[in-house]
Formats: sequence, C-alpha cells, structure tokens
Amino acid sequence: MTLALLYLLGSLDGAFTGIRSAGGRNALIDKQRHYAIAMLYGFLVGQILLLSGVAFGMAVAYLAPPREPREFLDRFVRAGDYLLDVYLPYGIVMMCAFLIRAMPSVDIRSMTSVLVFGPLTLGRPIVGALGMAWALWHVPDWRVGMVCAYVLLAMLALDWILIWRWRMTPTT
Amino acid sequence: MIERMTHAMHDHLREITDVLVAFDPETLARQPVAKHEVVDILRHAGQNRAAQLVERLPERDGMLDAHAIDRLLVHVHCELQRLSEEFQHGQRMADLLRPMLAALRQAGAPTPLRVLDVGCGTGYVMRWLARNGGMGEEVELLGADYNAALIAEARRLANAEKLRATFLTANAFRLDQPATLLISTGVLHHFRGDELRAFFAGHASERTAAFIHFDFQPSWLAPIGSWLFHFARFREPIARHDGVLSAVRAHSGRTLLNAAKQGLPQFDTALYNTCLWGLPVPRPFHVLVGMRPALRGDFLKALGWRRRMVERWA
Repeated sequence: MTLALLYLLGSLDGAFTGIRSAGGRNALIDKQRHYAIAMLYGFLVGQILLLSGVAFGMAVAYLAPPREPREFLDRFVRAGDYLLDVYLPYGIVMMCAFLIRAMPSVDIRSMTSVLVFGPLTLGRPIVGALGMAWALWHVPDWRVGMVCAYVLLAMLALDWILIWRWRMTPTT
Repeated sequence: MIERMTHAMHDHLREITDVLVAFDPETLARQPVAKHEVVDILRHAGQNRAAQLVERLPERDGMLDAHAIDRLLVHVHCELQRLSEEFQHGQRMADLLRPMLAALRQAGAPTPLRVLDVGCGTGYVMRWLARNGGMGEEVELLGADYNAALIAEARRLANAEKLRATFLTANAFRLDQPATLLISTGVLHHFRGDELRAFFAGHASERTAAFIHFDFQPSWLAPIGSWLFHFARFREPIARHDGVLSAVRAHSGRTLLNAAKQGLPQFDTALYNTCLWGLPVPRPFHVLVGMRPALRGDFLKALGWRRRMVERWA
C-alpha cells in the first residue's frame, strides 16, 4: 500500500507538473486540449522517470552491500511511510484546492492560485527534501537515501525536461 | 502613507516594455529605437537590472530589432494572459460590463453598443467576452492598441477560435466611430500626472457614455505579493520585471478619482471593490467606473447585490 501510494503521488505530480509547465504558453481562450495534452505528456514522462527510479531501486537492492533485497525492501517501505507523512498532506492540499476551484466565485478561484498553487509550487523542492530528510531521520540507511535522492532529483528534473520540450514547441 | 511613499519612490521608474517601442503620435507609425538610448534611460533611473536585460536584446546597427521586440511583446502578453486567467479577470470584467450595458439599454443608447478595450494588447479580455460573455447581438466588442504586431496576434487568435471581436491598430480616442463604453486593464498606471487627466479627457465624446478601468491597486502588500506571484508564475525576465514594477507604480484610488474628476467632470466616477469581502485586505486590482449621471441609478440597480462594492464617488 505504501509503495502504491507513493507511486500514485509521483504519477499525480508528473501530471500536474505537465499542466504547470503549459501555463502561459497558449493564448487561446479555450485551452482544454492544450492542458490535456500537457498533462498527458507530464504523466508519461513522469512514468519514465518513476520507472527508472524503480529500476535504480532494484539495482541498489541487488548490488549494494549487504545485497539483501528483502531486507532492503522492508526498510524502504518503512521509510516510505515517513515519506507519506510529508507528501500525502501536500498532495491532499493540492487536490482540495482543485476541488475548491470548481466553486463559482471569482475570488475563491483566484485565492486558490495565490494562496495554494503558487506557494506550494515554489515550495515543491523544499517539501520533497523535507520528506526525504524525515524518512532518513527515522530510517538511516544510505541505500534508502540513494534511491530517495534519485527519485526526488528525477521528479524535480521533470520541470526542466518539460521546459526543454516547450522550447522546441512554438507558443500558440 | 506607506502607499504614497512607495508611489513617490517609484514614480520615475520605467517599465521596459514602455521604452522598447516608440510610435508617431499622429500616424502611429513605428519609430526606430536606439538600444543605447533605452539602456541610458534605465541606468539614469537607477534600473541597472532592467538595463542589463535590454542589453541582451538583439539589435541592428544600434537600433533594437523591431521584429525581435514584437516577438518578445507577444510572448510577454501571452504570460500576462496567464495572470488575467488566474485572477478570473474575464469574469470580473463581465460582472461589471453586463449591468453597465443593461443601464445603457435602459437609457436607449444608440446601437450597436460599442465596447472598446483601450490598449488591448493581444485582446484577451475581448476574446474572453466574445467566447463566454453573452453580451448580446447588439454589442460590438472592439480592441485598440498602437502596436500592430499585438493587434495582428489578437486577430490571429480571434480567428483561430472564430470569435466575434474586432481589433484595430489605432488610437482608441480618435476612432471614426467612437465607443459607447471604454474599458481597460492594467493601462492607467502607464499615464502619469497630466497624461492621466488627458487620458480621461479623451473619453469626452458625445457617444461615449461610460467606462470601466481595471488597474493595479497600491498597498502595503503589493510589492512583496507582486514579486512572489511574478517569480512563481512568469518565465520571461522582462515580463517579471515589468509586472512587479506595475504593482509598485500603481495609482491610488484617490489619484484616479481626482484625475477622472478633473479630466472628465461630466461623468460620475467611483471606485469599485477595493477590498476583499469588506475586510482590510486590499485586492491586487481596483476598478474605476464612470458613467453619465443619467445612467447611475440604472447601473446601481442592475448591479444588484454587488452595488455595496461601489465605494467613494468622486
């Protein structure tokens, strides 16, 4: 369940990073198609990065001393619980902001941007690092640290990958 | 008092996009702009960061490359549109436009009711209204700007979505057929002193009956709030620079009311919705609404529950 939740959060993060990277790049009024494609792109690239993280984790489990995959998995799942302590509330706040944004009030919709999406976007790398620090504080294992760092850096790199993609695509 | 001090400190500063382009005031023909002159203007104003940004811009024989500048301005306006979208600006404009149009219809204003966006840029507001506003068949949505490249982009975007809005490279106050209702977004702070009074004086045509102008509202929150928002949301450095500067150069409500009263004394003018839900929390934008006195009663009636947001008549 822990690993599944982490994977789900990572997948959502990829999709929303896709949406975020698409903001300010299309001047049409109806942007549903634009954002749908951007979300899909972010999700797919995010999947590649997450799966590369899984592969990295498996490599660490089998190759890093003491080379005990089952023991490593147990420790990683324990660390994952602590990652969720930080990442799950972050994800829930974001999802709630999307739900609130459906309310027919221009002020409330604006406030979700100003008070939630903006600050949480700026804080995303900090939240990522805090989660990792919290997990390693409770499960001090260098192998777990390596895998967490890899996935964290990969998901942060997603922003740059998508920016590069947009640079290759003309603004609409 | 803090607002007055902040405003005074920043009054001499220039937005980069204001100095990158020049137009003949009569013909609106584009005039070449010497890069070193722009850099000198910004350095003289103490805007070294802005000068550095301009130094990076392409030039030809010492003149700023007009095509490159046009592409930059279109790009900046695309980012500005994101700000408008996040703040639900189209809907906010529609919420005021509908009661104003209702008042004009009640008063028997001649049709078509021409709504003109002054300094429309790439025409976001008019395109949004054409798509979502439901203004009515007798309403003509128009946008005017000096910059032909921005107008060309506005037309391209309107055509792409088959939106019923017309865009003109023109001086909004010198059209052959004047507007019934003038609107603008983020334009007022570009006019200082006598220019601001002249802006309102330009509304004094027989046919023009009302205006709705949105602009940044100065406050204790504006500098840091604007910086954070633009840092988080804008990518283009010049757009970030100008966005933050717009917020700190904004005119107070009192300044706008006084300028409107002096420039256009025949209109009733008021500020609208300056604080969030009646709390001492200033909104990023305030609105100046003005109308011929005969429209005031019908406008307030058509506003409905929003009439309590009308503050401070001049």
